[in-house]
Amino acid sequence: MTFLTCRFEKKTCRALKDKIFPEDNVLPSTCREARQLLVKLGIEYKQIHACKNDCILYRDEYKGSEECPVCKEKRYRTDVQGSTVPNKVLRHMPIIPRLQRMFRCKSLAQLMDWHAKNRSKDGFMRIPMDSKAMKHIEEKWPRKFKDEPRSIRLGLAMDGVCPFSFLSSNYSVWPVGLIVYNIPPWMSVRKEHLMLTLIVPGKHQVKKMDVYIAPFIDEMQLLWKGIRMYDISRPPSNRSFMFYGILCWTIHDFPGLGVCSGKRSNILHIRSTS
Amino acid sequence: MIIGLQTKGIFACPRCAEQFEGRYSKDLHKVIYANNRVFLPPDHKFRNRLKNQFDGKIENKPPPKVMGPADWLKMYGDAESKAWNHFFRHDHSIEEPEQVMVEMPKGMKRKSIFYDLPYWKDLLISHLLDPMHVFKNVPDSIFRHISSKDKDTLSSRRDIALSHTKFDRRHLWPSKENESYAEAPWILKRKELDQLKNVIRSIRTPTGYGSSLNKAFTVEGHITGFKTHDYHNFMKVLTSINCYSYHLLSKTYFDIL
Repeated sequence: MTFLTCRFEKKTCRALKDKIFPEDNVLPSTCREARQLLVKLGIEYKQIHACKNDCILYRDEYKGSEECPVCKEKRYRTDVQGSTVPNKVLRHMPIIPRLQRMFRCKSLAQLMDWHAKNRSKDGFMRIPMDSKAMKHIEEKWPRKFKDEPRSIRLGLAMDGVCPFSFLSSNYSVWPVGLIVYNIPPWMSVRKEHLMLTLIVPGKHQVKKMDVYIAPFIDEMQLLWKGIRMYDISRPPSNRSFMFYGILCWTIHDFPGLGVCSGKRSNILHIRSTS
Repeated sequence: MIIGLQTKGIFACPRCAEQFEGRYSKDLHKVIYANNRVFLPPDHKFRNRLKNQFDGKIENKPPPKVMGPADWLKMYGDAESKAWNHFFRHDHSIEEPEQVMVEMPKGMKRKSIFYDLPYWKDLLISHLLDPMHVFKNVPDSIFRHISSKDKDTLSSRRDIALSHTKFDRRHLWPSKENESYAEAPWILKRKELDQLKNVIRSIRTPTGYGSSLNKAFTVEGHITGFKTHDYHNFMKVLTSINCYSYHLLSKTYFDIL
């Protein structure tokens, strides 16, 4: 499995299969086959089409519509006739299946209540869990977080990134990443445990970031209500439990805190009630 | 962008909102945040300094109350109900889809999507800033301030005069006839700047503490070789070492700070 993901990252499935391994191996021969295998295991992303002017995402009620209901911009590109190439695509990687997979892995599932066992007792702050804000969460909702230390605490980090070259500043993509505060801090900042959830498309500065974060917020709403989780590290009679999640804070730089949007007024849409 | 609050202009601080005020300077064409003495403890000596210091007044104000997400949500709710009242009072027909404009409270741009989460208003901290960004910019600007004349322009002198800052007028106030002015006292002379450079170059740090600062300066006196972690070290430790051991900056440096 590790071999497969490593090779797929560098797109060198075929070369290795032919040259190094014996003839009757079961490795996928092409990158396409490798991807199909990975998607079946749950390592995938969802593509959500977006309006060109950042008005809406084409999901839920607008899933089948051809043009934006706010600005009347076409969904697909118009320079080629009859094309189905969308103008903008948001990549969304759902977090709930990934959290479920974390609890299926025995070594990782044992670490999900690491923070409760390793609090500092002398009053000094050593891990983020010793902080006042985190303790406030536990005091405020004791049933969800104090009684169940496996409930997940997340932090959201986002900033603009130039994907192709550092100097060409006219193209900026906004990756949105998550940090899990349950596991030890030296593990949570590693590449394996930082969770990428959204890739907000670029070329120009996104005007309404709220629209693009919406799929992630929906998932957080679901986690707050609670889902059933299966923990493999516990004895067989005690494996199923109610699992909650909270977004503790967001991390970014000062321009990211409140650039743009411009207008100091908000528009409420009224629909006919009769 | 995320928080939906203003981060520039007169009400730039998202934690203090209306109580934090900037002053727009016509000469410099930008907003200045000068009343930072309110954050000092009440018996601090800088609050009482009168002659030739700050704006020449005693600062008695307490630090502003911190605005949390719950306060912002309450302010937005008030604005929204006001807009609905306005809408119904003017007797619009509800059958046709209409638009209602909400006049946002001061410092707020829009209601962020994070308020849709039911627990968001109860959190103690909702947004964190990356301190490494901030640590980089502050020493950088201080250094530029004391090492070169870039910031010491005629318009900045005019602004100082307008804001009633009681510096020594003989140095600062440009004469009306020819608009010439003497060099500001905080700018280091050539000899002093060389001395400062030598101090910083001579610093030897323990292994793994920080990088070598041998080539930290250009010919003009700007910092170039510093990495973000070096700035961090500089703000925390090295500035105090410089100031106390050599008495080089002690007088002028603290006047700026």
